[in-house]
Amino acid sequence: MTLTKPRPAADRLTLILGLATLVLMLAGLFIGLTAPPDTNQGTLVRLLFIHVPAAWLSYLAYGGTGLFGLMYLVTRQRRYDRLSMSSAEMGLMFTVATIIVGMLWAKPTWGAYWVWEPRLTTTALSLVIYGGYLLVRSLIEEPERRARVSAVIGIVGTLYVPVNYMAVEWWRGIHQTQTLKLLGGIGFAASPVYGIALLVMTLAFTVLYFYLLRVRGKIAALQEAREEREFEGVAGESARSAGVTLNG
Amino acid sequence: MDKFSGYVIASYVVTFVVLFGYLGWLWWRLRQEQKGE
Repeated sequence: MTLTKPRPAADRLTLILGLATLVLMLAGLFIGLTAPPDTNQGTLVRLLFIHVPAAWLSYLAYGGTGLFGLMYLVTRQRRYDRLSMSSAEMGLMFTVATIIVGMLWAKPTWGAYWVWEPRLTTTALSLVIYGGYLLVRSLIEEPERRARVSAVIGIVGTLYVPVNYMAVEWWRGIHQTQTLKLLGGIGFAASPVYGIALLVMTLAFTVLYFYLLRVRGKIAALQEAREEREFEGVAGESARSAGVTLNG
Repeated sequence: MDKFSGYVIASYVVTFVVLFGYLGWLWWRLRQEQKGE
């Protein structure tokens, strides 16, 4: 009989989140892909079940970038900086997915892959903001300063999320208004089966965010510990060399 | 299936390639960092 090492509670939670994502995503895909085609959109309606949840995940991630940045500034605990960075990375990635799927939806409905209209433009600009956030991080070596500067950029960047969300209302372009209206009462103006598929997929992407956040955060923590060990090794080596020089 | 199905398939493929690509990269990074511990 072999004894397996007990899994830490934190790892168990990550595993549960991963499994919950998988189950919800499979259920959402089943409902979404078996739903009847829409009268106007045909099978294109199925894009709703990945385009909107991907955009939602990027909003969630950008919100997380600002929130964890703020928590870092308040507590000065480095784990919040790591979570903030992880969130920004995810936000950027899912914004890219949102844009590509949006372009594939735009071509058959608007006749062009890209139109410089308010929602598309503000979404593209969020790539610049969070790409800039990650770029700035890579340029600052001193960890405390990097965390402080990134937190400020993250918080300012998060203020941009409501602008992106409201762009379809404030500057009426050709993009449809919000699929899920949060202001003036929650409403969904489409067939209920599409609503259920969208809800399940949005839930799946929400759990996915927390799963990825935990995994990415763990990698960042391991990386930080390794860098500190390496730094201490180099510093110790330098001190020894200096000691040899002084004594010799 | 209709004339738009190609766009739908391409969209799902793109989304899941991005997702599984990221997951694969995370798994690889985690392995690397754990190996270095």
